[in-house]
Amino acid sequence: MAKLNFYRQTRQDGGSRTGLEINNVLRLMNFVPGTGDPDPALAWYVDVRCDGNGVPAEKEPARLWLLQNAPRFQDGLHRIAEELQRGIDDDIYPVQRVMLNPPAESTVKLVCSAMRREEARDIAQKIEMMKSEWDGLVNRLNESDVNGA
Amino acid sequence: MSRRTVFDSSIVIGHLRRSKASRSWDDVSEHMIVGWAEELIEIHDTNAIVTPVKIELLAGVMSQLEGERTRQYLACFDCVDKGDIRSQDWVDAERIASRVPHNPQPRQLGDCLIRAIANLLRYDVLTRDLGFPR
Repeated sequence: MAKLNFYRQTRQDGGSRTGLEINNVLRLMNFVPGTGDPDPALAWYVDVRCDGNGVPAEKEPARLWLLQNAPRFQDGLHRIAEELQRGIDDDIYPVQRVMLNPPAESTVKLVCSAMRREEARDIAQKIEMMKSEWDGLVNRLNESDVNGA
Repeated sequence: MSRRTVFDSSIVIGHLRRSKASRSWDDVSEHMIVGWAEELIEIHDTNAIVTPVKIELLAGVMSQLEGERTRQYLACFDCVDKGDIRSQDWVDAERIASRVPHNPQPRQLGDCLIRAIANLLRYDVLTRDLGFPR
C-alpha cells in the first residue's frame, strides 16, 4: 500500500513549490523562486494526501494517476474551496477533509493551512487555483528540482 | 520525511505548550510527549527542524524532568543541518536581521538564523512569527 502526497505551497517572497512525495520520500518537485530578497517563510499550503492499494508507488505511474484522476481531485478541491469561502483560522492545526469520490482503492485527505490572516481569508482562492492549474502543476514536476532547488 | 519544510520555534513550542496545557511535567510520560511530536509531524507532513529550534526548546527547560521529556520530544524530529551552521548562515542571518519591517519590531537571533539555514539548505519555513519583513 503506497502513501502519496501531492502538495503546493507558497512562500512570503512569492516563491512556490509543488512536490510529489511517495512513502515519505520526495520524488518530484517544481520550485519557482520568488522575487526580491529570499524569505523562506511559508504563506500557505494545500496537500492532497492519498493512500491505499490503488495508489502507485513509483513516480511516473503516480504522475499519470494524478492526471487520469484529475476530475475527481478537481471536484474534491472545488468542494473544500466552496466550504472554506469565508476563510479559515490561521492556526497551528490545518483544516483536513476526507475527499468524497476518491480514485479506486484509495482514500484521499485534503489538508490546507495558512500562516497569516490575509492568506487564511483567501484560502478558497488558492485551492481553486490549484484545481484549475492541476494538469500544469502535475506536468511541471521534475526530478532535477528535487536536488537542485 | 523529506518535504522541504522546517518547523520554526513558534510552531514547535506553541504545539508543545498547547498539548501539555496545564499538566505538570510529573504527569507527562514519554509515551505522551512522543505522541505529541508524532501528531505535529503527521498534521504538517514534515519532521524537519534546524539546530536553533532545538536550542530554543532546550533553553526553555526549567527542571531535570522537563529536560528529559524535551529531549524525547526532540528525538522525533530530524535536525536537517546536523548541527553544521556555516559562516554563510551567519552572513544571511545578518542580512535578514538588518531588514526593518514596515511595522517595526525587533527581530530575534534564532528566527533570523532559522531562515538563513533554511535558505542555504533550500527549505521553506513553517512559522507563526508575523514580525518579519516581507
